[in-house]
Amino acid sequence: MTEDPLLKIRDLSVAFRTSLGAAEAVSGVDLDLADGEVLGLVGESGSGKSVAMKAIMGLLPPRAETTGAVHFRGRDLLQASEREMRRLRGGRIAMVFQDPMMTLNPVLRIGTQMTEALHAHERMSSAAARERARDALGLVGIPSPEERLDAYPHQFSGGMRQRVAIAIALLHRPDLIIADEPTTALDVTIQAQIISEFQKLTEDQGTAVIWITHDLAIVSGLADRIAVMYGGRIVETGNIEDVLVAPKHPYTHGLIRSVPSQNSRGHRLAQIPGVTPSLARMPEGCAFRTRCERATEACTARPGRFGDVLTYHRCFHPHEEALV
Amino acid sequence: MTMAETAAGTSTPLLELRQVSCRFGARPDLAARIAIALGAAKPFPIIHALDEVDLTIRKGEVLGLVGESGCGKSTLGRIAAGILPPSVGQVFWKGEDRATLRGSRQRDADLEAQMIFQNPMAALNPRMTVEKLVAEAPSIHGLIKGSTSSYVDDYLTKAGFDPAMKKRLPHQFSGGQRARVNIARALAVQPDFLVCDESVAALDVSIQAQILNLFMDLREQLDLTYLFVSHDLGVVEHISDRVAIMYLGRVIEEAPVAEIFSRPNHPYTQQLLAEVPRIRPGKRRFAAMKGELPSPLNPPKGCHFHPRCPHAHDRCRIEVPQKREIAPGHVSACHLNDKQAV
Repeated sequence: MTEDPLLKIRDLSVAFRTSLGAAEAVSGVDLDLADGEVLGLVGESGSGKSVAMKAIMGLLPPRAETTGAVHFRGRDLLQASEREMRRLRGGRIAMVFQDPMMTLNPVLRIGTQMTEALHAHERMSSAAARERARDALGLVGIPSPEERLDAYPHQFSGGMRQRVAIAIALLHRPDLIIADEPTTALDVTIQAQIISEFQKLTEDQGTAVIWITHDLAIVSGLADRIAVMYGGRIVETGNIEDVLVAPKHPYTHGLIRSVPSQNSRGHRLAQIPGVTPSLARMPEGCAFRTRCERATEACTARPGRFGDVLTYHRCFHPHEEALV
Repeated sequence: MTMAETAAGTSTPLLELRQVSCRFGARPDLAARIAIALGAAKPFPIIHALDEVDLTIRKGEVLGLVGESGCGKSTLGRIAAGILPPSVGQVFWKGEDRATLRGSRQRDADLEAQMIFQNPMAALNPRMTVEKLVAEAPSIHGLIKGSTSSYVDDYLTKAGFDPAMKKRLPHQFSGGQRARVNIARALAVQPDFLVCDESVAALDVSIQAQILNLFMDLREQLDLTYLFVSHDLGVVEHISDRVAIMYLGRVIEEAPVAEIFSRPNHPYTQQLLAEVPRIRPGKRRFAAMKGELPSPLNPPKGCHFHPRCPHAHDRCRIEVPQKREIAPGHVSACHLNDKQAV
């Protein structure tokens, strides 16, 4: 890793003021991302993974209180002006969302939406913009891109719509793409198509990717590094192979073992007892301790970061041995 | 049910679908029919959701039904559960044609097959408490002997739901708890057969594991048979005894679970199973199957899969492949099997 990573997040916290008091959706997130690196951000619903990424992009509502530091190419995004953020968003940092039907405007032609995105960041003629848009559609594997520019979003299938969303994200050759569950709504075969296009394109362009998902299996084949979130905190992060083979945090451990597979056939799945606590009722100390079989008195204190920023876990009683 | 039926079903399958087709579409009225006959109007579009499907489910087994969205697996699930009548073909429940059943026999058959739906919130009336939701069907059908409250508690406990919370409304619960309420509600009419339509798709991984374990426990306790509809190959591989693969309204391959995952025969199955998401450290290329599921409004002629199939030849474009047994219990519908036999 170079000394100055592409993205450097330190002690990022997001709290929402509610009638029940402040709910801390994201708490003390430390993360580094190098150029061209693919990070899998894994967590269950409500773990704060989407909120953390929206905080980076400055997309949270004003009632969210964001603290900490997010350095993108050395510039602190949390201190940046709205004007500056607008230049970055869609330009240097792009985002792909779960539901492409929500990202695309249903009453505008695809071509209009794509050239609009181009004109927002660059001065260029309409003809040149249209040409760039057409090339981008071709790049993500949409057949006869010239005609498809004049189509409306509803004329595309779900997989094709997600390709369009990816094409728009890639228009300005961003340094970083944040993909928020981009394949969750798609069929397995279409999912594989989208991931394979995504892989090709980001590798060609050297784009760094943060892939938000709840699906460990996708991340295992896609990412260089993984960060596992629980209750708003990154409980474990590291090299993907190390974490999947020998998870240290009991939550990661339980999560990997609860995924059904060929080896689990006919057996009971290992299950994590209980449910994810709500943000307002997060236990003190380690957020996972109420569901954890290794929890002791010590866990009522908040676990710090054990390890450096690239490889760490937050557990007083980590697993030492590898999974079988 | 207190019916004396336990003796039956040793050799006859629990459920058998014979040449079942299901079509959806508006029926043209007289004026439209004349216009169509004269060539002045186009025929109304008809969706061929199911196309001559044969399927057998034996007592006590878990049959996994896999396919992409739009391939008709939910329609098949609904027909199996008796919610939807087939357009053509017969459904045999414990050896009797379901369409010929009348009166109490029909009612019993309806209660014995239950369905658990995909979206646990949409399947629960938001204005009814959990207790009422679970008690409604069995009290209407007179299944409750004794106190309703203890009957409900019993089934909620079976589904792993704390009966102390039964006075609450569905919106007060998490997805996993709602799934349990749905399971309790299906169990409350004492069925033999459950159709689970993507019942764990909406749940988080750790909750999904809890519900899958619950399904397996209930199977042993209550001697249940399952039709498990899912697009998640990992879940199907975990829970099923036998797997049926669907493509655009047809069941194209059927085999015991170990057999199909180790020796898939149909080119579609082979490509589909290559996509099974597995936790396998190490970066890899995601190999992608070409194309998308064609529209069921206008399915391709011959083998439905031929436009996406790497091995397609002329015969596949004309003739519908018949199912052939290629190994004990392993049935596949592909012309390539004939070639190899010659």
